[in-house]
Amino acid sequence: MVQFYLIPRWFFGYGLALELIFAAITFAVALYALLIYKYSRIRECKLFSLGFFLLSFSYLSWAAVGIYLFGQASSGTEILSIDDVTLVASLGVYGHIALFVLGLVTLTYMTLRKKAMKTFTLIASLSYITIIFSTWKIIAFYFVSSLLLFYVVIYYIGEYAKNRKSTSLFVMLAFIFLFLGTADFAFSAAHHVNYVIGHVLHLIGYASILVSFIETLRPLKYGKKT
Amino acid sequence: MAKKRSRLEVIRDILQVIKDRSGKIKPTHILYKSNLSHQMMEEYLGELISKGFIVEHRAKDVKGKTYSITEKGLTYLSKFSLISEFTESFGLG
Repeated sequence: MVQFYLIPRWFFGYGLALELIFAAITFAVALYALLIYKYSRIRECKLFSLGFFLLSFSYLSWAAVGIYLFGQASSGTEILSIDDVTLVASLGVYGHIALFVLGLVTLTYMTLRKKAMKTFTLIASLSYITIIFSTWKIIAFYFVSSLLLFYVVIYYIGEYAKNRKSTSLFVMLAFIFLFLGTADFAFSAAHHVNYVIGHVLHLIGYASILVSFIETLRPLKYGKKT
Repeated sequence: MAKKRSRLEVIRDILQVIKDRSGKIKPTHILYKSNLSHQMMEEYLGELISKGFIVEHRAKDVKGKTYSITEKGLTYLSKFSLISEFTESFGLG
């Protein structure tokens, strides 16, 4: 039997709300990146948009599991263990895993700045194979995700060193917090506190992305054109 | 010392030069106005054609090639601030 998460009951509603917030933020950024791609035809914008759309859908899948379990849990339960859930919830969790990994693979591939589908398929297949053939799937999933995010973090540290802009700083910090949060989630199958900490770290990460995103909309606000 | 232009700024400058001529422009004019080497200019022009921002013309009455800006190219110019803010911040430029 594969254990997924240990979730404290008091956090269930908050967790669900946060997942929906993460889905909304990533969806908004993805949509805007797509718009920028339409204007600029920059390949990286298209990949970034695709990566964020996948992350958004992965959070929706996770939230769907939360909604389903919320109705299933008995009132006396203090800590919920998602290891004996029905097929529906398992599909939701696996959907989240598949979409989240593919989203991160797309972002990592974007940071390579190389047009080579072989590279993309290699990273994706290695990531999936590692998770599928692992006994501890949830730990493997977060290990792979952390590794992919680590490379994204390195890329954004380089970008910040180049630009020295406040928005680049927020994006760099965002991916650092997402990396830390994802690494922390690996322990959520062992202790319920890690599930809460992981959400908090991801919240800081996505809040930083939101701040940077709003800042980039400034020319729109002031009607500046060129 | 002047700051080195980013790729996006070079593209903007080329499109602006073509737009300012309000019609067809010869590559020599683009070369002069955009302050690029011949090789770099050819690369940029190739990229702009593939993206659909400009079109190349080979008319009989005009010697050599000329270029004109498309609707997509004009949209790029008008949205340049938004594009550069977003791509620089998110490391996509």
